[in-house]
Amino acid sequence: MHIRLLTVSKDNKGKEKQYDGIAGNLITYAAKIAVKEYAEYACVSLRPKSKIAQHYIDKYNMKLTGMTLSIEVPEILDLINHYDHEK
Amino acid sequence: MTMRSKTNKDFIEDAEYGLDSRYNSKKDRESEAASLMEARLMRMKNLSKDQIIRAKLMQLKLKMEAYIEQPMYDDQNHFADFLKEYVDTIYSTRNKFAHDINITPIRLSQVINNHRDPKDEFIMKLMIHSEKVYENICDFQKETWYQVYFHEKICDTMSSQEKWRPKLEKDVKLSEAIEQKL
Repeated sequence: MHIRLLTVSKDNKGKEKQYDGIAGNLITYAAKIAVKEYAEYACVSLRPKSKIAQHYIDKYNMKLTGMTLSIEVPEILDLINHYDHEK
Repeated sequence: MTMRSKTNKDFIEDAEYGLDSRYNSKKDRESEAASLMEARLMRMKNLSKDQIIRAKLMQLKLKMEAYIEQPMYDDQNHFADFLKEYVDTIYSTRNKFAHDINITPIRLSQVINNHRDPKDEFIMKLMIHSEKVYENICDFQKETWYQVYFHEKICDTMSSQEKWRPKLEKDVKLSEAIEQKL
């Protein structure tokens, strides 16, 4: 599953953001669909700008292949558990 | 007006604001997809049996939750199918599961093949078993199996009204006293 466009409102951007973790929750939403459909073959990918790739690697434990970042089993299960526990 | 160039910190804040990973061309997309698939195949070869089971159990949980959330009028036996998936994911034989929850293999087979409804005790044992299995995998609401079972009953009943309603409507009436009050 490839995330083509991911965005949050201006109110939830930067230090003064109203809600935290919106991007993480959106990626987790995609992750849940991927696991529900494909179990051990589940994968969520996205292609960030090179300067922010490391941020996604650090924050969501994604792996880099070429220009594409992806998260698969087992990390994708940890991501779902992490954001489900934050509810 | 002066424009300052973006620092790495700005980009990281942008990461939370959003990203656009649409491809510029079909060729670009296909090339990236091929590289990703190659890397994924390498990583998938290293998945352990345990990791695969955990993924399948998470999938089953998500499928059950999705089923509970929406009415589904079809001919499938959802409870029995989910149970079959659950048992076959964890055990090498169904008899071993029957042994673990102290029921006969025949009774298990009857429920899995939808020849007999599960008794309350069966679902309660299944609830306890699932709690133990899912403990270190993910949150699993203990009422899930019950919800699936009754959700299916409700959907089946509502979708088959044409069959049971004509006969039963003849048996149901309001006495005069009740009718006058309403």
